[in-house]
Amino acid sequence: MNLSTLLLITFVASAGAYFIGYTRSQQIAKPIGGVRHLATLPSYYASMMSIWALVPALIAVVLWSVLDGSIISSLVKGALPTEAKQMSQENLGLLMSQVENVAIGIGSIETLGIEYQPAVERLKSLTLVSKQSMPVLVIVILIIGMLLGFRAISPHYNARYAVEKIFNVTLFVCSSIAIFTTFGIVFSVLLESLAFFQKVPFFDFVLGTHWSPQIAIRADQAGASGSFGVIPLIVGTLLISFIALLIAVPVGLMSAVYLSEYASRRVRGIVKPALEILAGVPTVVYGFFAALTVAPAIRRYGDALRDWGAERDIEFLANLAVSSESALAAGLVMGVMIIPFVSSLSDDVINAVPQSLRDGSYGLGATQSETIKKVVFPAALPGIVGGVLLAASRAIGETMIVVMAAGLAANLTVNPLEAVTTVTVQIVTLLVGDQEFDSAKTLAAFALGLFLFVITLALNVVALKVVKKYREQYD
Amino acid sequence: MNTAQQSMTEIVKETYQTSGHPLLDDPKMRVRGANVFYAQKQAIFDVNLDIGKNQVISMIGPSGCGKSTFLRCLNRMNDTIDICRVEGQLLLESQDIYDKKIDVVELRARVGMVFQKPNPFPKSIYENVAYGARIHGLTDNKVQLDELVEKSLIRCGLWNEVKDRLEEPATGLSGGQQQRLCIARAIAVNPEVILMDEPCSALDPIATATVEELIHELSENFTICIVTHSMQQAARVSQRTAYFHLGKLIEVNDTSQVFTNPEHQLTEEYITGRIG
Repeated sequence: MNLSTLLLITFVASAGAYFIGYTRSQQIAKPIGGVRHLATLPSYYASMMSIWALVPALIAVVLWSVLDGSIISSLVKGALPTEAKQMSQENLGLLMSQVENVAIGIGSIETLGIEYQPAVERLKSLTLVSKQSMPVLVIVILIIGMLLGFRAISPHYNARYAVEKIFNVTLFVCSSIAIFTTFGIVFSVLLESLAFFQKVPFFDFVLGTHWSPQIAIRADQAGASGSFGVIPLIVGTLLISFIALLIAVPVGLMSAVYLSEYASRRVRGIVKPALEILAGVPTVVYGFFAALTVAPAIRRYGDALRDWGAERDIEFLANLAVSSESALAAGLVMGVMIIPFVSSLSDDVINAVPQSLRDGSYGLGATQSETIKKVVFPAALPGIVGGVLLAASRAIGETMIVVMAAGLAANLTVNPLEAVTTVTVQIVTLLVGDQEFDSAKTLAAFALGLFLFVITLALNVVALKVVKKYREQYD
Repeated sequence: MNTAQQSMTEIVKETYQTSGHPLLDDPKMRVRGANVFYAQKQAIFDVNLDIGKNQVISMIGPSGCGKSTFLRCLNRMNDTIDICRVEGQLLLESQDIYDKKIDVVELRARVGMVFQKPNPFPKSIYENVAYGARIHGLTDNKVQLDELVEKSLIRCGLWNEVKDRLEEPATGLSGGQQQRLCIARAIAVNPEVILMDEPCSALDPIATATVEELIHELSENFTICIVTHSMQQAARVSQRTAYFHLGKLIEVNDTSQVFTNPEHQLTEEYITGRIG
């Protein structure tokens, strides 16, 4: 019997337990005068019985699947010849997988060596035993659980407490999964970053103005300087995000104001879904739109402007140099990409401003635009700030558009017409391809990740603070 | 539906002629043949009513009788509701307020409004009172504005309570203080008429008494229309009372007469507690 059949049986049985529990509780209710004389409702008795059936059996399945491999292999190791027991960890592992292969029929015992025959036999028999005994054990546990649950059904026992406790625990576990995942990620990134900072001093990383993560493979290799200054990447990231927000915040906010205050129901019904479609376009599509359409167009206009300036001897225009990959192109397209974030969130918070505030303003003779500017907008501000900061985190974390449209050159510049690169793009380039995981170049990716995490975390904290400070103003 | 209610509905249908004295000489506002519709549904039927200068008129009637709808017609607050349509003639001192040429903004500056639930803006106490003056450009400098804010707050009896915390958020005030602030905000614009839509229904008895006293004082200089569910309140604050029933104006008379000697059977049934 394989695992999925076993799980299916378990679930069907627990559904059956629900039914049995329900019937049973009604049965015992009858002689004492009906369901209202029970300590709680039949559905709670039924849930309790089904939980009794399901949970212990599931735990048994999980434990068995996790532990059986390691238990079997430690038992098999005992059957290995003595010289094998003195091997190093790596070689022992290698040998064990050879033994496993022979046991399932890959390779022959002759090539492995006849002295390993007992180990192979042992493995075969143990696997068989495990396979056969697990379903038996699980089903026994299932039945015991059902019996215990069945016995617990009595008019004086309030099953609701137990059931609610179990659900409480389940809800808690679900909510902690996200937290534990975050901790796990932070922890792993932190460890690798510490390894990186042992190779490269912390302040060289944080304060360095030159980014060129090439590590020499040979001592005499040319162009392998290996400097890890993060400043150019941060400046590039902030530059592109700033351009993106410069586009997204005004456009998004004004479209939100239009949609929530001025648009008729019909217009709103068309425009709002259309805006949300924009949020559904994959970033890679935005990326090649930026690289193949916007960036060349910017370059073309820049060149035209330069020629025009050169003809008229306007020095500052004549020296205009537009790179074919520019921060401007990436920022513009990224700005368009995050418009839906700003507009959709702002639209929601503007709609949440109570009508009574608008009425109050109209009642004093304010026009619609005065009402929006002086009452609705300030009241919605905390939510709007939250939305903008969310969009900012999104812009900082965005990779695809920048890879395609802004290039990989780590220039330290604030000129939006030059190629720049961002933290996320460098993480990608550092980890693309085959890498050795102990070189500073690879470990730098983790340090960058940590840095990025700290920045976005700080943004989120600021956002929460702002929202909290102004909240409850119109409650 | 019991028989008493049934008979009343019939009475309204058969004889619809407002009892008492709905019309006045030289009124502040004059309403003739007003009908109000929400989409297809008619909410107000052929109302004729005059509102006297520097008087308090209260509108009473069971829930859903159209008294709030009628009140909101008087400064065109119903314009903000898309499906609402108003017919008839509504004059503010001989000027038709539903004339296409009239500026709603100016109208609402002349006919201010106080709402059922206190709705201070999420700003400071000072900014709340200064709001109307700022948008209408009533003052030329900070000194004048300060004076106006102080004067308005004094008239609402709120000055002593808030003078030390004018910069604090208005939402931190108690419910009664908030409602008086909303009244101060309305009178800061110096309107001619103030509409009050159940201004005390969200307040406790003590705050209600303060607001009622305030209404009484304000009636020296302002024309006030108040919608209320409390007949005692109507009796306390108003000179005239209008009784609405199912969108029709049943009776208008001096308050004392309405409550002691109503002319119409429906009015009597309402004030004696048989409808409501």
